[in-house]
Amino acid sequence: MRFTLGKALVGAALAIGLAAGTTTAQAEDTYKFGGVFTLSGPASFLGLFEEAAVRLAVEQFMKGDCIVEAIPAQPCEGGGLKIGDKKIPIEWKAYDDVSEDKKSIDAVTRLVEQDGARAIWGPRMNSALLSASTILDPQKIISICAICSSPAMTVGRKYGHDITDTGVIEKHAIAAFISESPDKLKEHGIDPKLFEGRKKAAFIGRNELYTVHGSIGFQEGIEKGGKKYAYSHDDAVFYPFGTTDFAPYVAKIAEQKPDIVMMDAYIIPDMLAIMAEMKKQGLDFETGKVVLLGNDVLMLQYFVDEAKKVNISMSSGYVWGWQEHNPAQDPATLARVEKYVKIYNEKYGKTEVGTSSPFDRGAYDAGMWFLYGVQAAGTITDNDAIVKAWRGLKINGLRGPENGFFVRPDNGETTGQLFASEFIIGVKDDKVFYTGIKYRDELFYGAYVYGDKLPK
Amino acid sequence: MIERLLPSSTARAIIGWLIVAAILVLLWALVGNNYHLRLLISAGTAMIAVIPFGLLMGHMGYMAMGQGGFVGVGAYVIGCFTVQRFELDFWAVLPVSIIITAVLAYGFSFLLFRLRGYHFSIGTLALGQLLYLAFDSWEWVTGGPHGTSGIPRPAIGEYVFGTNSRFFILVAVILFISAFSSWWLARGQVGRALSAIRQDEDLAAARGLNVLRYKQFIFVFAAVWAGVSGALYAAMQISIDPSSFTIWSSFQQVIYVIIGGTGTLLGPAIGVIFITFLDQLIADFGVWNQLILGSLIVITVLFFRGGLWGGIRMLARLALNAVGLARAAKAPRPGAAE
Amino acid sequence: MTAFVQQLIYGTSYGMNLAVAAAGLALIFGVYRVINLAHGQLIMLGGFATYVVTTQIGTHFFVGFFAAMAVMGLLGIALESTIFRILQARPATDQLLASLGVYMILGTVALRIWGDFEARPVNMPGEAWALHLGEDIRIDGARIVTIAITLALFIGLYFVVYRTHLGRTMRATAQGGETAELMGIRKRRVAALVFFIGGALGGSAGAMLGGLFNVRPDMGFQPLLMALIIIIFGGMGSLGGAIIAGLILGILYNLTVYYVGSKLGDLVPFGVLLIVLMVRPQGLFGLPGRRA
Repeated sequence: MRFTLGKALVGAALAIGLAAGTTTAQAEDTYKFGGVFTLSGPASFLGLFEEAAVRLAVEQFMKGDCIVEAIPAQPCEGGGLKIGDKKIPIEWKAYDDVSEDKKSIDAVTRLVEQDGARAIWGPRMNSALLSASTILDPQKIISICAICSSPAMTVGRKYGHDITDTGVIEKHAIAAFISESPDKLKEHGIDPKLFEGRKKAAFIGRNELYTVHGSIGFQEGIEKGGKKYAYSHDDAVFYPFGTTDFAPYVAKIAEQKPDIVMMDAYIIPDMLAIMAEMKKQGLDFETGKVVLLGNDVLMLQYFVDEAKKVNISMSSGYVWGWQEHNPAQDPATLARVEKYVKIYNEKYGKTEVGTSSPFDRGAYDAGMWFLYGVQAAGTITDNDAIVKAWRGLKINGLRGPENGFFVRPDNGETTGQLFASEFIIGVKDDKVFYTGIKYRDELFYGAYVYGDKLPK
Repeated sequence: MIERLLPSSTARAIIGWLIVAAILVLLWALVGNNYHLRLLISAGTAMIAVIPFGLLMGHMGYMAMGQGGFVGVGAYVIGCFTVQRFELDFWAVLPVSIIITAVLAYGFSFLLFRLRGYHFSIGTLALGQLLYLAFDSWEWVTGGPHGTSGIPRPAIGEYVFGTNSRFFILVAVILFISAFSSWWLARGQVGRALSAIRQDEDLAAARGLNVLRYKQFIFVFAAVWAGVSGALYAAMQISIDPSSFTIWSSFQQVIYVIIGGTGTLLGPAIGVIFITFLDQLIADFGVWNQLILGSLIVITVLFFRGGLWGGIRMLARLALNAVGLARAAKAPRPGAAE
Repeated sequence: MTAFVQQLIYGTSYGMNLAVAAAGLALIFGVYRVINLAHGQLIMLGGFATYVVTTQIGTHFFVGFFAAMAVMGLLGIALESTIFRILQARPATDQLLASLGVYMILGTVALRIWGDFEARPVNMPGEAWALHLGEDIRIDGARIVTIAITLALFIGLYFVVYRTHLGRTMRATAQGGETAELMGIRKRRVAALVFFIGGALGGSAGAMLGGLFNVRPDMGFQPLLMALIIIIFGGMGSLGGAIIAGLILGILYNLTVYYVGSKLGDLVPFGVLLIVLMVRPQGLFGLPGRRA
């Protein structure tokens, strides 16, 4: 190979082009924040919702048409954030991580360095969170996620905020539910014999960090609930990405002869395939052979309807899960939800984002809440002040009035983790319903919740 | 033309490499934006693996589809020895990482080079997938799905390659070595052997060339650089997990080489730069970006023989033709590895 | 023991699906010397074609099945005439990359049209019943149907390739394109035929996978990956090899998941592939000396 003039010129042109591209305009009079989501591929289910909802929150703030209110009250007059006497417009920008760690961090860097974002929504990829934190925390960039579900968002971090539960916390809740006494079940109108004689629990999920945490949390929860069921994290069945035939995986759970199966998946086609195969292999939750536990995706009304299309009925009384949102709300909250759902569905219902679910409602609340927090701090540059003001603020949101979201129930310290309640949900006559059982303070224990460092 | 004023190919080479070095220094000096530095580091880290891989794939004609596995080995050796199990220094571990990738590649090369063509490609694909399974399952070393986090940025004495600007220096130096060593191999005896193997392996063997030795050497060479690239990737990302070393990551290396142009050294580098910057350009298109990337791949393959670098040369030739400098541009190029 | 037999049955069913997926790939490779990665998306689109015809329009499964075969066959011809014909004289790497580009395009298009989050059931005969052998062993009706379809497809394929004039021209082209051309075989027509049959086989694989499970935009990836392994394992271009290799790998996959570990399904099939290649570099049924 020889060096020719042409090659040198190409190299030089590239270098000059790069150098020329580095100048960026930084405007101090807009509040910029952005997000990194998975917007394509099967995992985009949650990303599309979250992005759409936060974008809606920004648009409403700009229009002065906010549905939810902050406590103490904050103005939402349109034109942007009201800081002092000035109106500061808000700019929102989102990138797709294509489910790749590297792209995820590229996008985070781009938002901070190029787009001048002062806060980052995401990144969604649990595996990219730790990388992101080493970029964001030293620069005091706030990061927020409303469906991240990993302790890496907050554990050991100052500016990370997890505006939802984590894979561990939510499993603590469902494990607490299956460890309840018959009396408590009866009190809430649930068959007191639901768990009678059931001894063995099994776990199936897609092979990823979220489900590994989920299985660990499930085991912790069962131990905490008095070890009524035999379950060990080592017995969990993890299927790889792209699995088409679930028969051997379901056979592996069936082999354990479980009475209770926890299905920790959020990819809807996977879940439908697993449930169909469970029915075939005798793990029948329609007759009560097993109790099927699932997460907040399983407990979406949307999912129940989809399952019905493939002849899976979830109304047997043997399918249980949770939502992080209180479905039984006061009339004022319900009116807000109704208004929100109407706007959301008009805007996104016909797009790939789809119709409203508790997930986008949570993200919308979080977006509004955060923007009110910035406003309450009276600054768009001092992130320490913003964090402090935001965490001190409450919100009358779509999930209803809740207090002390960021306050650790054990010692009263403020953290970035949302300490929200989990509401146990069932299905009756093809409709999801709230049992009236909820958990909060009893969910927060273990190294994955209160640790200073993530366990290896 | 200026080329004619240059006395010998050696002088041209020296000037060429000085230009490469100058470009790297210029980039470091001129690019201040952390985001652009991040992209350069990303691209540079990939190039460290892809340029030597171009020798294996382009010059020798063996399309390996499991390079992502070797990148992962390099990354996880760093992860395991600097934070996961031991707490050694990056520079102490780097040779270990090189040795482990080299031994692994050498061992498997005996098996893989019983294969040719697509058989070799799929054989390497299988190897890549097996390595991925190891990353995902061998928790003691890799942390499994938890991954390995807290990998330290390398340092020399007090000087930590912590910021993007400093890390770029590291990447640039190693990239220079990687590219230079690839060029050094491509121009000499090895380069001639490689193109003999690509053209007709059996004939080359019949003429007394120790074909297997050369093939193994290049395979190990490419694997070692893939490992070094992985080591830098680990230090760049600070935390790694198996999802970064899937079959798709191996496909990406193949895409870099083919889209840039096989059989050249500059081609793969151009491929990396093109894809890295294209990714950023189309990041705004969200859900459509896979379609855009796919279409560009098809168009490039259909209309540019020899990838983008081939296309650039073709366009340059057309432009020179237009201004009547056809002869200079069409000057024969004796370097076989070109 | 019953568990083992049960896994053998599941593995056979899975392996048969893989064999159909691989047969299309193997046929195209055998005649045309191209590895068509877009085949994975033909499988997926075959599933959606079946869904549209069977479920949305509301016809019998087999109407959708044959519609999927026809449409994917035509798509195969379209790919041949727009892309692969142009690239025929180019290095294998160019063809592979172009087909990967097509894979990405088709994947996004399907995602845009059908989305990722919905149940896309296909009603398949035999879904409601199962054959019980003894106490614990069961064979799902739908799986029996797919195995039957697969066998019928392979018998049909055998007749086309070995008992018809068209098949002879295909085999002649496979053995040497130029000689065949000299003998008066029109290469373009053969190429179109091969891509039609290859695409149709992909479409039928998608129809059956869709019937057994769900139709979804990412359903082509795993069958494609396994099909790549299968055609090498069985011997490049060997149809019989692809079928037997598909069966072996499907069974090995299921047994590995069941007995070794749920995350390690690929371990034994991929490992066995490497070992077999060490002993027989041309694959199980490949002819020695005929190397790609």
